[in-house]
Amino acid sequence: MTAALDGAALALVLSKALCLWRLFRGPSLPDRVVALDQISMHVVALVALYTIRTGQLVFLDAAVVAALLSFLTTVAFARYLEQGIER
Amino acid sequence: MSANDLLVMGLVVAGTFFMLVAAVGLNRMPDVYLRMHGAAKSTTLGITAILMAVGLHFGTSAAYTRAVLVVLFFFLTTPVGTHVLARAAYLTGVPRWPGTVPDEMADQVGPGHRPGGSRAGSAAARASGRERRA
Repeated sequence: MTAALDGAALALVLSKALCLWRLFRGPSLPDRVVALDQISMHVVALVALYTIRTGQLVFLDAAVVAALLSFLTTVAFARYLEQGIER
Repeated sequence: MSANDLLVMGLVVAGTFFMLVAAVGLNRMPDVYLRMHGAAKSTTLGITAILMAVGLHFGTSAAYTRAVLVVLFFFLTTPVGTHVLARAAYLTGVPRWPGTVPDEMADQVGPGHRPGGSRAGSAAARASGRERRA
């Protein structure tokens, strides 16, 4: 059980590194925003894995907050991108 | 190891696999729109699997409530966020992959289009249609 959780966490970190590579390399700004959104979703998944690993349900509240923040960040960046082209 | 633990492990591994697929798609897709397409849906599925594993592992109503809450939140917000972001990318003129054939927004959103002015434009179109009918 613990080994499977640790392996899954390691794979998630690797996946997050791939997203970070897109964040670093993305040719346009929307590419980077998509990569950032992906990274925040990975944070939610990692917090959920940590909740299982430690057996403390309190940590799941952090996942709720991270999910809320990820949506707000994406919408704010999209609004910011659209403001550059008009008015 | 009980059957419940096996189910939790299977869900965690499946969810991690889908998150990894999303990250690979984010790097392999040729276009920002295709990247969104590959990333958003696959990540939603992966997070759903992992959070269901959390609910199964604890088995209490508090865990299920929080897990289902986060899953519902992602089901509601991921399409909205991706749509808003794709719209911003289209309006700012991010180049598309040459293999993408249809462009259904081309006749609705021109280069000089302003999102705030679209409502007035459609109202004028409706008024002219009413005059034509009268």
